[in-house]
Amino acid sequence: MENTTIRQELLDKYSSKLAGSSAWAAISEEQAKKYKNRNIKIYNPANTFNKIEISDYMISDIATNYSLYASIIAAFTNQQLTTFKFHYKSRYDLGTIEMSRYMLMQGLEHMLSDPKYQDLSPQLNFVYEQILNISSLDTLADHYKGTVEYTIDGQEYEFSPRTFFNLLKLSDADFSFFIENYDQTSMGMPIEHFLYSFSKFTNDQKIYNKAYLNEEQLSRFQQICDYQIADFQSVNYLTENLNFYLDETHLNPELQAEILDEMPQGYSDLQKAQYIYLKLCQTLTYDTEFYAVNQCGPRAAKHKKIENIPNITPTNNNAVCYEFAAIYGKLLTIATPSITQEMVFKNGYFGSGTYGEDHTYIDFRCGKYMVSADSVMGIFTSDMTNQKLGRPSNGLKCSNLSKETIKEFNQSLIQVKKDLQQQTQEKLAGNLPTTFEDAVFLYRQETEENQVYIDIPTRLGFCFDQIKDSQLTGIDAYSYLLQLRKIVFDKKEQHENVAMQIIREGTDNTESQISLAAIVTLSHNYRDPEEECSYLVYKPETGPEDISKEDLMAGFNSGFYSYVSQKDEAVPCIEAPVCSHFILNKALE
Amino acid sequence: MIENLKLKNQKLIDKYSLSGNIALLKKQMLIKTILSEENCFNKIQMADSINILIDLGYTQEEAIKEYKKLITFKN
Repeated sequence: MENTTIRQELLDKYSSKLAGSSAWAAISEEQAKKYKNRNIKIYNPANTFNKIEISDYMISDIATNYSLYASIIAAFTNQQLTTFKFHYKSRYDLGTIEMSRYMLMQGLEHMLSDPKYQDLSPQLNFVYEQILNISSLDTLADHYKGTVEYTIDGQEYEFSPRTFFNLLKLSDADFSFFIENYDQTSMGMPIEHFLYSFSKFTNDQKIYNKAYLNEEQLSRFQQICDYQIADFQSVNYLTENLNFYLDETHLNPELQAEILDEMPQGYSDLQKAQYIYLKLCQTLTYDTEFYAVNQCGPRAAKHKKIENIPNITPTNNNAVCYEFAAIYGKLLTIATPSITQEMVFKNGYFGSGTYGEDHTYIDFRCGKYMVSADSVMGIFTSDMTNQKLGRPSNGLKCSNLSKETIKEFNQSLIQVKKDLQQQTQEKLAGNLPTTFEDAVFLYRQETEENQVYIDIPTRLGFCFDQIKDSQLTGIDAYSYLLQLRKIVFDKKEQHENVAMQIIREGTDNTESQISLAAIVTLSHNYRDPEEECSYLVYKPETGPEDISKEDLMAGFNSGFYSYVSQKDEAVPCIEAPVCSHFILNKALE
Repeated sequence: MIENLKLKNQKLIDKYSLSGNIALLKKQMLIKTILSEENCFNKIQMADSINILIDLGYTQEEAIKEYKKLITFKN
């Protein structure tokens, strides 16, 4: 039995709060404690409506207490009531525990399927059947007489609520057929308008609380309202232009041409909006001075006047958030007149609505896309900077909830970025050489000032290391050395600073094998007899070894070193005699 | 190895062309032409090669090491 004493006490004490409401029952504090122990937890991740936590003690009370059961049935028979309340005396105020029709039914279903509550099964089943009987969609539909009228994107429509109930009642297969074969002409409206009306009606009327929807119906309701069937979120959003500064914004013709003239043909409105944003970010730069003076004082004043906008050009390109927003908004209306937009002013939660006072950006609607274009999310992380540094943009965002729509928006943005890249590359490529030699020549010119210099001994060491690592021997190694000389030292260095000769080592009259050695000469200018030269003897098997001029000359004089051919270039500053093997070979000819 | 450099070069071309940094883009496009030549590092001066590697994002020390791997006359 309901505690009538508590009820009277509550009515006396909280008469204003409880006046006019009959859909409640009074419970003791002890009961409240047990009701709050929501030990039945039902969670279906695929269905966010289906998150239920309810006390089995509460449901048992309802199933065994006729008076309480009758109050609940009476409340839920009235289709306008979506919840039943349990009130109790709490320490400081009126305590309340709410229970929706859906919570109760889910809890009952749970208990009926759990053997733990088998003894209570007949009572639970009775309550379940009774509530189900008064909670069907048909029963609820009977409460709605006449029609409802909605204005959708400026058009007026009239609906019979039955239409929406019928949509919920369709089987999955029929619903899929209806959606796949939706005929705009016979229905008299786009599917987005129809689903928007369904969503508005069912949410405004809280149909999901007034009737007990089965899993299929609930899942359908969620699919539609989560924009999974069609994205109608932008319906009735920005149905007209709310950028009141459009008429006052006058663009510099040079800037307008820079942004719009090269926009690729055949772009959709969304692509145009994305292209203009990226190109504008690429062209404009956040004004350093405006930031440096903390956005106030006489130096900041010019940016706060909309009259400054015509002064902004591709070369005089300093701008701040207000100007970017005004220019972007104006360019949008020129290139894509069907886009509706709003200039948003924000300072914390509130904005003054006045140009030049608060942070400013553009929100716009482009078909189903709801987009926010804020080029200055942060001074150092603004898209005007991000774009120039090749960082991802963070200010052009799709605000739709539908993952599919966001994905489409981002894919389009990626494509537009690629187009913009391609455009810039093509523009430049027309003026660049295509041959290897010309490219090298031009690259050297471009790099002249920042050319890295590595000293000659280091580079020579690099040559020797390279041969060692290659494991080449004999002629192959010497050949590699001569080739390395050509790329490691430039022509002037080869001509003046580093000479290399491959000479013969060993004499005909010794028993040891005759082989080769490379003599490397290093000098400031080995062609100048006044300049000093230093020498290295290099053999792949032993590596480089210093040798003095005197020892080298002695080697030549003794015949230990000699030139292989008379035509060989001489080792700089070494006067070598004509060797015996030339004479011998001449004699043998 | 050269393919890795070509990828780095393409990324920089994309980056600079998206941002409209014409001077850096021009240099990378010249590097692209140079890299498209077979055994290109055997055909240009070491200083140019090192500079190309630095322009592709290597430090000077790394560039020298990388250059060592790139030049070969074995082909």
